[in-house]
Amino acid sequence: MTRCPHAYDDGAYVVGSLSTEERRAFVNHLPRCPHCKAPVRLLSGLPALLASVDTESTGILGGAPIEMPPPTLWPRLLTATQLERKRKRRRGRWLTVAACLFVLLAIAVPVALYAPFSPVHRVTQGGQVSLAAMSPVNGASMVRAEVGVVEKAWGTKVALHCSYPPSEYAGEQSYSLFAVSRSGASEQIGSWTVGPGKEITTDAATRFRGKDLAALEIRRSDGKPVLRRLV
Amino acid sequence: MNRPYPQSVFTVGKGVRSLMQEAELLRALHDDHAGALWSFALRLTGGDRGRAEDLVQETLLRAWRHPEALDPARGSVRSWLFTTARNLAIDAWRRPVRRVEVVTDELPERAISDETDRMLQSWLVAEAMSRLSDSHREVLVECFYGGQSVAEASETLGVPPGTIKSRTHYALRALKLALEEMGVTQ
Repeated sequence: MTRCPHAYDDGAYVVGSLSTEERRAFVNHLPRCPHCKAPVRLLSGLPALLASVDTESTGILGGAPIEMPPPTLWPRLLTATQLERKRKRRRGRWLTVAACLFVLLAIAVPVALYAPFSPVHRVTQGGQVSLAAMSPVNGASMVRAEVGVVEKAWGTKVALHCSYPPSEYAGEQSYSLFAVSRSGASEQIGSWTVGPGKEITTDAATRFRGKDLAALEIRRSDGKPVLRRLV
Repeated sequence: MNRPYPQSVFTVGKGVRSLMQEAELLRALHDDHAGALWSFALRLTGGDRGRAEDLVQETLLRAWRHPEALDPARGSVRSWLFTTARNLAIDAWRRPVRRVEVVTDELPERAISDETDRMLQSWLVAEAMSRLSDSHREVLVECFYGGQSVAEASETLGVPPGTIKSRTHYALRALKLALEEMGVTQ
């Protein structure tokens, strides 16, 4: 590429420093020279930007020294950042407490909700039937019960232990045990009376078997369910 | 002027920044930028020193809170600071309290925003100029602001006219590059 003799004139042209003759020569040359045309177009916006500079207050002409910020600025900055750090630390502590609570709840709630649904341990080969606690159906209930199931060829053998805590105010109550099938059908498989400080242990039987047996339920004499265990 | 900030300031997460690092960052911010910001803030507030100091403080605090903005890889620190100061100044004008105080000779909001935009651009161009080498800045100051011809500048600066031309040629390219870096587009 042959070097254009005007190659360095573009800057001086753009800032308007070429002499009249040089300027005329450059302007005549410009339309015919791609090496000069492109840069001139590229730089042509700069004078407007340079002109926009407030030369006095920005000090770019190297005149008056730039004024220093007030000496109060640094201590103010320090105080502000210290305050903010303190606030952030306090917020951090709260966040930690909140996070701990959240984790606790995240563990406790599912445990409380799902524990009753974990299947009752099924003992299929004779021996001791292990019992699992039944959960209150509608809020608190004084009566407590545990059930265990043993699958049989004819259905399911249900082991029941029911107790009533000592109380001066409560009398005897009648309860019934219901077996609930997967399809929602239920049938009574036993009934008994228990009073404060008493307990009963008995077996019952239901024709529902295996997956057909969905739950065991204890109902009050008025038919209202009080304890339930999903099988 | 543009001291390299401790790398850890950008790379380490905010939560783990140590007290030392935070103090160091604040000191660096103050020393490097408070002067330039102060003159800019004085212009933005029309010479109100109290408000200008508030403005500088808030701008530097923002930078301290968001050190990632100071990462040179992400662009010019100065232009970020100037832009932040300008935005804060406009926000302050927009505050309802001000609006209640507005009297008839106050500029309408749009005009204020245009005015600060012009001011911001002015300061960004000045900042770009300050990044040029002395010889480049000199030649632009003489030729453009001084209105000197190549021959006159050659005499003032004591270098041949050819050198004045080539310096102007390179100075404008360097200026354009600096402006682009700072996000100033024509």
